[in-house]
Amino acid sequence: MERLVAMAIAKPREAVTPGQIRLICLRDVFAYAYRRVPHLQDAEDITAEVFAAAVSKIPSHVHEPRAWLIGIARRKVADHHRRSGRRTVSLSDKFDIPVPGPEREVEQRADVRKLRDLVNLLPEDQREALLLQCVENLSLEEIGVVMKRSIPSIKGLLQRARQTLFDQGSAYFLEHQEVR
Amino acid sequence: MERDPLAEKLQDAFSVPEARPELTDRLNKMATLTPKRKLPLFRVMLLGVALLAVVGFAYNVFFGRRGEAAIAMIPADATLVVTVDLVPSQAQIPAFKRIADAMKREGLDHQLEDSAGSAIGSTALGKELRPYLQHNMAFATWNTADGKSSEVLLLPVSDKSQVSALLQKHGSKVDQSGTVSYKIGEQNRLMVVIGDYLVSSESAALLRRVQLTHDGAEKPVAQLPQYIEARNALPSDANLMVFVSPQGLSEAGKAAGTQMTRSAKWMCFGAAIRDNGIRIDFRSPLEKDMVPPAGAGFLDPNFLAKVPTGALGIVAVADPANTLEWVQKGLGKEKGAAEGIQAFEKESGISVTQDIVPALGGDLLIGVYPGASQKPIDLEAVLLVDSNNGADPAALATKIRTKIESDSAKDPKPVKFTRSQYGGAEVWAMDAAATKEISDSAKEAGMGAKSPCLALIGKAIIMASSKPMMFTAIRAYRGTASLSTDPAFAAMSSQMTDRAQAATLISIHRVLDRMRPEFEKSKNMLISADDIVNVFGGENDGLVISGYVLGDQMVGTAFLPLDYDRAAKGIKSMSSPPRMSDPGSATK
Repeated sequence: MERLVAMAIAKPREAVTPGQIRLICLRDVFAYAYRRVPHLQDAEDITAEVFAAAVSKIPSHVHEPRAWLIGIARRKVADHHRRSGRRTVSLSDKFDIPVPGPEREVEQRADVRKLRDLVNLLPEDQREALLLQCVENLSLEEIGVVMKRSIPSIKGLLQRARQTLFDQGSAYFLEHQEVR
Repeated sequence: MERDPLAEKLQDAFSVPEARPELTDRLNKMATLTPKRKLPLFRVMLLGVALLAVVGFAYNVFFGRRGEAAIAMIPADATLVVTVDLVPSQAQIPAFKRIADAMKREGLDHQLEDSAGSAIGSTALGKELRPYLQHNMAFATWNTADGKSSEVLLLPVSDKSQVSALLQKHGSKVDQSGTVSYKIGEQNRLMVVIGDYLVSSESAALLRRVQLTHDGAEKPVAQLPQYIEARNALPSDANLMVFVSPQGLSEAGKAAGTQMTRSAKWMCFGAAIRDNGIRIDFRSPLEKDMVPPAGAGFLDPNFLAKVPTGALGIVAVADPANTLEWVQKGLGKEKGAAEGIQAFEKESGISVTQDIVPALGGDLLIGVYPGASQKPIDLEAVLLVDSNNGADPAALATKIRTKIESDSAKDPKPVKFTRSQYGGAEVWAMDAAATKEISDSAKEAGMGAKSPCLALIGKAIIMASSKPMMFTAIRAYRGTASLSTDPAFAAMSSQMTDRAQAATLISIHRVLDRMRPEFEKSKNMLISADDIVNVFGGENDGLVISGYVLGDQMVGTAFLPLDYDRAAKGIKSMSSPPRMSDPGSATK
């Protein structure tokens, strides 16, 4: 499966097949949605909606299949929040946090929560660009496709996102100098 | 690529689980419903179709779900359809291999073959047919006007001409409007090869209808939209599937003495082999009059955090008031039910609608725990009703306590309650004399001392079978050592439906482990105590049943953990004569 996903990602300028769409949906689209909606079921529903929308009219050539699908997912997530009456998109708070051992568990959970809170405080566009780059592992070009912006604009957003994050979380990053 | 420490930190903070198999199934089903794109070249398309036909045929013959495929030959008015497909999906291969290895090791594979053989008859025909039969089947029934039922069995065969030749050799011909079947021996059973299936029934007319359905002259169950909806509710690789039509449900209801009207939906049940056990899915339409109002609450996702760790099992129900109203609605149709409720209200002074319903709007949890003596029979229990959704169970508890005290005031031994405080909760227990009486009875029954008591924590209430259990329960409710930190229950809760309204989680391992000394004492058993204790999974496994009401349907899932190796040993030991008493052969 990993190999097929890698193939799907490595050939961005070729025709995309329903099988590739399914693999990208199961891995990337689901992860994207899961991070942005409060319930697992909602994330699965959005993934299924993205899959249905994508396979119903596959363009003859897709430049960036993963970015194309995450772009659809971004709109579906926004629709979801609009339907549930939330104007701004905040990040879902239900992550499986990997911790090395029980003795440090409490400390690390608090630590991770602090970082998530800091990311949540970022303006929406900056937060989205930062997460697309750092968490979804998208390239600048792919982020541009998702957010419908030029590459210089994305670069600017990312710079501002990192700066705002470090400014607002100066105490946190003082403790975690390795991150800067 | 340059290392980005911030990205690494964020990836840790926002890590997500892998998509569940249910989502994979869902997308797979959607993919099959999506029209395929036209290929640019007609020639390529033809080639592709031919290739697909060959591959599809080969897959169908050697690996396909031919039990399920037989539904396309079952006439649409069947009331019950059962399919068995024991050809594993890709994901099931490791589990099937483990099962096959375990059965072979225990010598059960021959027994299975023998029982399969006896199912098709131990006659000469049965023996000759066996090599052509596969690990799939379908079965369907129809209720006839005279209250009887007729049924048909469809068994896929690997060589239909050979099977036809065997039927001709062993049977006598029966012609029903052009469908020629064969009556075998003295039995009333008729057999015929239709398509790639050996079809068997006592009714020649039914075989004729299966033939017509196969030929496209009658509509099959497989084309009914309501059946398709039911089928889609089950995993694509379910190994056993049971479907009951609305007519079948209605007739079953009549037989049970209820006259309620069902919706037009099919009931379905599916069981699928998984790596560590059996997954069961269930969906049933509700009687139209019993559909609960929309908006019934779901269990608090953190419900395990409200009761103590170390449970043997727990039952949780969200918004029991809703269920109560629902049951009351159903009972209202029964003769004398309204009078019964009125009598209860008059006798108890408690109103169902004004006292009980407002008290039970949150979550109700019942946990069963090992008693201090560690004897299997010594159990403790905790019942919690929380104050979610504005519920006020404390008010009802106070009303009941006051009522009991006032009613018994004139008795020679009036009931009195004593009040104390623990962990910010108000704890009520019966007076010392009554508590001693209960405790003595419990001890006589082989249990440890019991002292039932009730605690009010804000508007929530906790009832416990003893004071030590109550103190543990209050500490858990306050966040210390709750069931959410119990690895077994945390693992089990991941098997629940996402939005459960009711759930039952049982650590079968812990229950059996309490009986280990008894198992170890039995020296004539062929299976070790360790195998018995672990047959339904290890320490972190357990039986999980959960469900909810979705519109006019009840949806449920269950997971029964199973160690296939130990289960095979267990089956073997049950089918073997007990070992003679031998002091030197204690269970290992």
